[in-house]
Amino acid sequence: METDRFGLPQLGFGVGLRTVHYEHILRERPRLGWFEVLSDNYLHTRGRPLDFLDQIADRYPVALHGVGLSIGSTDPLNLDYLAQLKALRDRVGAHWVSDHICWTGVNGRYGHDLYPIPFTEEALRHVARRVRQVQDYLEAPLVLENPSTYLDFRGSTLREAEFISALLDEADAGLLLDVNNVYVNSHNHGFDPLAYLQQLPMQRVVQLHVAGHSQARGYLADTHSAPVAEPVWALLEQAVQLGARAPVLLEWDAEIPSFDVLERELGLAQACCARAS
Amino acid sequence: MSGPRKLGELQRWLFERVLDPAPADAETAAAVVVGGQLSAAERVEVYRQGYAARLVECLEDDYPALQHALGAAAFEAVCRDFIQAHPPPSPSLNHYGAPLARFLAARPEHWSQPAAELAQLEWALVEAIHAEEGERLDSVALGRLSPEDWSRARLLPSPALRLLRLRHAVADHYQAFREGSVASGRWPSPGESAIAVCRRGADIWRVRISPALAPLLACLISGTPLSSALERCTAGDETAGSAAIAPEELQRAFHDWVACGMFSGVRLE
Repeated sequence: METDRFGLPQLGFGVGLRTVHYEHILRERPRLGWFEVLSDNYLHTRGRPLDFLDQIADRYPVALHGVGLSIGSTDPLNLDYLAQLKALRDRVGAHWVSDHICWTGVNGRYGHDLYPIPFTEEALRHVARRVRQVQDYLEAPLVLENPSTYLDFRGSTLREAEFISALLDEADAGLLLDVNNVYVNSHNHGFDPLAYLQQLPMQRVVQLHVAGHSQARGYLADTHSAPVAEPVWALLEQAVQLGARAPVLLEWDAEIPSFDVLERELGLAQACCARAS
Repeated sequence: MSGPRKLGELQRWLFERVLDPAPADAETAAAVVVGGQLSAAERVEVYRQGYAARLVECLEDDYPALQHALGAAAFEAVCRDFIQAHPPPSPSLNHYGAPLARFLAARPEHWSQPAAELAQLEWALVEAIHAEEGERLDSVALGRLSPEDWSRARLLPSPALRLLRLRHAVADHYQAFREGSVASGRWPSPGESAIAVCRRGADIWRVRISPALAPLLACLISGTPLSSALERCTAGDETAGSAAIAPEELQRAFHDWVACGMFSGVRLE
C-alpha cells in the first residue's frame, strides 16, 4: 500500500491530556506539539471536563484515543457510543480517532479492560469487518493500537504482528504503534520485539506511543506509571529506523508527575527520534 | 469441552472467568498458552484482578471522603461487594458510582446511614462536575422583577444544582476532611442538615443551607412560584416551633444562591 499516513498531519511530540494538568496547561501554555485526549472521559459529560477540553483544543492540536469501542467483541457495535465519539471528534476538531485491537466486554456486560483477541482467521475477518463499519461511520480511517496482553490463546494460528498487519491491510486502517506494549508483550509472551516490528506495515503508522511499565510478580504490567524504560526507547529508535515517521505521544496515567517531568520525557523522545532519522 | 474454539464462545468463557474466581482447571489449560513464569490460570488471574482493581479505583476517585472515613481496607471490601452487586452497565465509567449511596444505606453496619449520606454528597459533587453550566441568573435580573411578577415567577434551577437534606452533619464533616482535620474512622455526627451543591465555571460550590431555609430552596427547585414559596416557607410555624425567617436573612440567602450559580434564569408564567 502506498500511503502517507492517510494524509494526516505530523503533529510532533505530545502528551496524554490528564485532568491534573488542565490548569497548568491553560496557565503556562507549554510548548509541545499536541495532546491526546482520552475520549471515553468526555463522552458522558456536559460539564467541567468538556469546558477544559474545549479551551485546550482551541490552543493545541488534539487526537482522540479510546478504550470503549470494543472492536473485537462479538456483541453488536455500540452505535450510540460511535455517535457520541463522532460528535466529540467534530466538536474538538480531533485529527484522528484511535482505539485498541481488543474487546472490552461481551453479552452486554463490560469489563473495562483490554481483553486479548485470539489470532485466528475467524477473528481477523470479524474485526476487519467491524473496523470497516466504524470507518464508514466516522468517514475517516480508524487508528488501531497494538495492546498489551497477558495471555494468548492456544487456538491462535497467526502471530500477533502477522494478525495486526493482515487486519490493517484488510480494513485499510491506521496503526497506533505502542512500543512499550511491544516490549511488555515480548517479555510476557516470549518473542523478539525487533522481529515483531519488522513484520508491521510501518507506512500505516499514524502515531507512536511511549509509556512506562512496571514489574509485577512474574510479568511486566503496562501501568503507565513510570518513566519510559531504556529498552522501550531503543525500540522507538528501531521503529523510526524501520520507517515509522509519525507523531510521538507519551502516556502517563498513574502516579502522574508534574508537567515538567513529562516535558523532560518528551525531550528524550525527541532525541531518540533525531538519532534514528 | 476440550477448550473453547469460536470467537464468541472464547470471549464468553474468558469473561466468566474474569468475573468469578478462575479455577486452575483443564479448560483454562486447554485454552491459554503457558509461557514465561505464569501458568495459564495465573494469566487469567491478571485480568480477574484487573477488573476489580479498575472499578475500585474508579470509586476511589469519586468517593475520597468515604474512603478516608472507612479506611482503605474496609473501603475496598465495600467496593468489592458493590462491584459484585452492580457490574458496570455501560462502556462509560463516568456514572458507575451512582448507586453507591443507596447500596450503603441498605447495609447492616452501624455506619451505614452516615456513610450513605456522605456518599450522597460526594456523588452530588461528581454530578455537578459533569452537569452543563448553561445560563446563569444574575441578581440584577432578579431585582428587576416587580412585586406583581412574583406570583408567576419560577426560578429555573441550574442543571448542576443538588439540594441534600440529611440526618447527619455531612457538610461539616466533608469540610473537615478537605482540611485534613478529621481522623479516619470518624463519621458525620447526627443532626439535621442541608447542603446545596452547584457549579459556577470551574468552581464547584458546597453551600450550607440552614434548616429554616432548606424548605424554601426545595420549593424553588421544584418550580413553585416565588411568592407561593415565600409565603409557604418563610412565615414560621408556631406549632412546629420554627420562627419566621428575617428579611435580611432571606435577602442574604438569595444573594448567595444567585452568586454561586444555583439558578439559570427566571420564567414568568
